[in-house]
Amino acid sequence: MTSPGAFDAEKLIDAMAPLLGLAITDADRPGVRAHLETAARLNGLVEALIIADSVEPAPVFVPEMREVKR
Amino acid sequence: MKQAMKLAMNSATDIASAVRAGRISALSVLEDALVRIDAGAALGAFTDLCTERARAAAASIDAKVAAGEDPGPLAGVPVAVKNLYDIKGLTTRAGSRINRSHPPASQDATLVARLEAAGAIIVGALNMGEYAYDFTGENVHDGPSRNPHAPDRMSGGSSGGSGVAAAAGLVAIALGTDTNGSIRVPSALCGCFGLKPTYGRLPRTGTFPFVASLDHVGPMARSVMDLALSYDAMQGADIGDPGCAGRPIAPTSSELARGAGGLRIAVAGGYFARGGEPAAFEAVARAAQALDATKIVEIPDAGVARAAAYIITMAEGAALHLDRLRSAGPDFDPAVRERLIAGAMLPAAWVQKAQKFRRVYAERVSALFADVDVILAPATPCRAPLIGQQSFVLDGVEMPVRPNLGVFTQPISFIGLPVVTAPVFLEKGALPLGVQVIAAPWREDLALRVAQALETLGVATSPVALQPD
Repeated sequence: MTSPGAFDAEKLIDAMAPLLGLAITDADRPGVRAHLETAARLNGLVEALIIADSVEPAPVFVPEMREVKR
Repeated sequence: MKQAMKLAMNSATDIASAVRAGRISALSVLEDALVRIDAGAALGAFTDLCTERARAAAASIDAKVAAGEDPGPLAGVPVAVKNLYDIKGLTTRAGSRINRSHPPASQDATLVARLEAAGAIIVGALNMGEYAYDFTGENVHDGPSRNPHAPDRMSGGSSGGSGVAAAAGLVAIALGTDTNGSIRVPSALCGCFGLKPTYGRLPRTGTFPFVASLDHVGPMARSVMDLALSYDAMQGADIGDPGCAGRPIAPTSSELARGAGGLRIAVAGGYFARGGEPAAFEAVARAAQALDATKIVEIPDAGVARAAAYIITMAEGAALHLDRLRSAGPDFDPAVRERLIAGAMLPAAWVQKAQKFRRVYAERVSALFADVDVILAPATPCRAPLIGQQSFVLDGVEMPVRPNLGVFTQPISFIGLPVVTAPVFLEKGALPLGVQVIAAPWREDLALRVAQALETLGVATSPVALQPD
């Protein structure tokens, strides 16, 4: 089992921007990097928790028959 | 003070009562509101007016009164809505430049239609942070919403125009939306009451979305009774919103007189008792003292909840806007664009674990409500910062303003708990702060009753900020 490596926002930007079809300007790059670093730091809090496999994620979805607008 | 301009400063409750009794006309209230809105234009609250529609609606209300018909519980009450609510005939901006190329809305948002059906007069649309990704009330396209108590300071956001319009007495009721705190933050900074109902209580149909997992809609006003009146008029299922739970209508305005007696009220400790200026906690302490609330409860893992809400917001918001980031990137507010681009790059596993934690956290917090009915917590970590202010120092740590104004609101909306923000002015001349009055899911009635008690006790007040000459 490997551990997550050090978070490198610059590498993530370089890898993801072409995949997403986003052009990152020089003006935007520091801001994007800072937001990714904040997200990584905050994700560390969530990642540190052990959550049982049986726990369902909690977005919204209720399967039901719905009236279709035509 | 001109007599005419006093009419629109009244509460929704008083206006509706007077219009229903035929003591004043809806048209005269509307004309007064329009004068006040014009006088307060420098506050940047409104982006659109629908004067012609409003006059026709007011005339219709007056005709109903003259004919002896029931004009509805909100008869003649001027209402404005955040400009992400559809208003038939207006383009729904959602605070953006990009959406201005959209065609005008073909019908009203469900809540707009319900308020109008209850007799309210829809007067226009209100300024907001771009695409609701904001806690400041600033907008690079339309200019900032300005705090009516100190126009060089932030209104809070993203429902900034809604907070300003209500607090300044431009309208009696304003609608906002709240994904991570966007009703509660401007209510606190502008000094008005705000209700973020339980997630799924009110339908979002006809509003421009931000984060489907977390988006809420609700009212802002200068009294708790006005919140309750408008909230009651907006309740009910709507098939247009898959997130609307379709709960039975549970009227609250008739419950307020019961006050806080018999309710078990606690103060949130731990996470909610640090990381803010002393005044933020003093406001909570004052409310607790007035209510004889001495119990402290720890909301477990609130910091993790805030982190998870942050991750989900970044990712879902980015997914919503990805096409626009590609095709119209330069037309975004740069501060919003950078956050959305970053959000598009987050690993899916981060987002899924955040959603799993949401369920765990909801169950843990639900357990707290076995022993308490209502929990008090600060709404913001400080009073309104200066417009343009980029950072502040909290507990000795410098941090950016924009994401951190919601540090106390995010862990609560993350699991959709109903909250009333009660505005507290600690001393004369000081800017307001807000106290979150938090209840268990579907118990808006309890949050409103406690907020009403604070209002009755004089601890929570919402004086009209913009006084006419």
